[in-house]
Amino acid sequence: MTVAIESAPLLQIENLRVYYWTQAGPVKAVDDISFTINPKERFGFIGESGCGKTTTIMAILRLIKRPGRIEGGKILLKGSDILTLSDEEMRQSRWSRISLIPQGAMNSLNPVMRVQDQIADAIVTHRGAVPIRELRERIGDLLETVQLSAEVADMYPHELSGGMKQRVCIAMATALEPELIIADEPTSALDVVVQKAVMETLIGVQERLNASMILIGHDMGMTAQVADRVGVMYAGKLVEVAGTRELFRQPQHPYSQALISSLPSIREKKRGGGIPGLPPFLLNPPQNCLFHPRCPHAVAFCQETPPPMHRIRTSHMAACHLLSAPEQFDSAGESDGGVLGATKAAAGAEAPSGHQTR
Amino acid sequence: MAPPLLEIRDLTKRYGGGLFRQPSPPALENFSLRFVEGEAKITTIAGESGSGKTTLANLSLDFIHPSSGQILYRGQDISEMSRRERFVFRREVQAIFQDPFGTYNPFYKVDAVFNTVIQKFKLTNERSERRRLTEEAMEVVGLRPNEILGKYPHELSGGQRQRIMVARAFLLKPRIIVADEPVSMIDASLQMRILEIFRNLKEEYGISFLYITHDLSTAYQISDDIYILYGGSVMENGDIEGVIQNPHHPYTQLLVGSITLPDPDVRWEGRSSSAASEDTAAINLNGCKFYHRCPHAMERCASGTPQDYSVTPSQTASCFLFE
Repeated sequence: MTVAIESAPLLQIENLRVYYWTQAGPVKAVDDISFTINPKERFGFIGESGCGKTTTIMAILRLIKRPGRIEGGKILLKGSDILTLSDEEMRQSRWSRISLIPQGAMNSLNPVMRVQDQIADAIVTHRGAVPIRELRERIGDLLETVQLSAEVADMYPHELSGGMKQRVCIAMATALEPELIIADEPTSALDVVVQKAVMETLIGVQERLNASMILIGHDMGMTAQVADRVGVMYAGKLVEVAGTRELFRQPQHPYSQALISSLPSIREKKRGGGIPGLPPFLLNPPQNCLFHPRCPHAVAFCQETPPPMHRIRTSHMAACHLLSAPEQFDSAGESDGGVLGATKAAAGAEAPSGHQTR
Repeated sequence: MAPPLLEIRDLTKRYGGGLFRQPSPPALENFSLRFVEGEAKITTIAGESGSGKTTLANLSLDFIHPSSGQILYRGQDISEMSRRERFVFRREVQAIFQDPFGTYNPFYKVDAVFNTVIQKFKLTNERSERRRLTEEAMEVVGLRPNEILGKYPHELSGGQRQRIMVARAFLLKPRIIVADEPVSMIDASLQMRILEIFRNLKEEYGISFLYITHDLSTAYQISDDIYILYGGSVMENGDIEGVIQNPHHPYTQLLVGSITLPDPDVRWEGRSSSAASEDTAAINLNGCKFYHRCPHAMERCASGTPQDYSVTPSQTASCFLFE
């Protein structure tokens, strides 16, 4: 591999839009998001449920089902747009180039097939017939990389614990050595002690394959530990992207700040956690900045103008007027603050503790 | 002296068994706990799946019956209560469950939740009074009644539904609320708001909580003391600050070490534990329950059952290391 290929992004998403068409109109589940994932990188998505994380990865796999539709944008995998592939070409790419460890993956195993037959299925479907001895050897190796003993190959899913089943799913998802592994809540159904071990296995496999990984998890502690970079999604928009340390230490978008300060931790006891209000109803979302009804800093300008993605540093971007148009907040403090301040008080709003934006 | 509000004495529960079948290993063994009137507190019962924490919840709500041991409510054994006593017990000990979706009948408006309890517990017959009680309870949990009443469950978010369940429990002016994984199905950003309500109910209304969870981070935020269960037995018990910040029992250390901190600068402690240490079904039935997974296991742990040894004035650990 040459240096040039190494430094080009593996996955490049440009202005992706995914809408669900309901009788009442389009629900903009993913609305104009752009980001890149570099080779060998682990990219984490955080945000409340319903903010578009799963829709985004389903779009990358082209598994959006009706009434959902990819409305526009590009998904470039090593420079070529997978949205232009035929269905058959896309089917070949799934699993072999991009694989998915879905939410509750352990329940996705077929209960009446032995583990080895299920793994073999994935290999044979994509690679064609393989001599049986070679196949068995391959499956043995795969199980070993996920720290399972060879006997597991002959077992049925019900004979395995939750953590073991999840490891089988990891073995299956990585059987064809994909370039991109997408893990949607890969450990959320497991016990804490097991979560940690399974996550370590997954990272081990990803590093061995030199693959990139997209990680979605409602456990933000896990994301903080595992991801290299993190994207924060809110109501179908990507509101902030930054290196993991930078994001958790100095979040710039008020939503990221509230989200991160709401996390329970064993390091400190907090009072008054949580983000006031609820994520917007996407059939009838607020105008322009989608977060303004819940934002402690909002001024009238936020309702009138959409916030552009503002580059704070090369690796840190956030879409908030506080960063791109700070002058709006200095003058607006007295006049507009009153009106919006009153609506926020009614919604039980309070300023997020901790981080100061300016 | 008045008897304690709730006293659990040497409670053991085995499922199954019968005339010809071996009873299964205990789901909960020799568990004791006490809530005193006037000293409201939040007690956490923590453990992995299969540790017996839900069994304890079901026992203390009198949904299932103990194999041995007693649960006394205001000094009266709950399995031998008269109708009148049971009526009081049912009102004063309330429950909140894990699934904020499954607890509702989808065909009824959420108002039915409140109307049913008001009727069953004969709180009032008057329409206006019923409305007042409902609205008061909803305001305590931070919901605006005019936004919620008249809606169907599917129109509300998980967090709202769970808060309605807290409001429903509050309506009955309980002394104790048993909350079995109340926030595990709720978004991380909303969990603390619900738990904050628990803390307010404790501080302002003197309601005690039995908070059952697998999540030590949320437990640390709100509870006063904690019991760590493994395989039905208490491994460590004590003041929350001590148990989380200074865990003594090897199992507590494993649990605390597995917590992911939302801080990229603090790495997970240690490297991958072996597959054996994650097998939650590996419970040693003859001695210390944790023997098979314990990094400090000694010969005597295989067959001897450790007592609760004091490790600090407010903390006990059930491990021979501290004998």
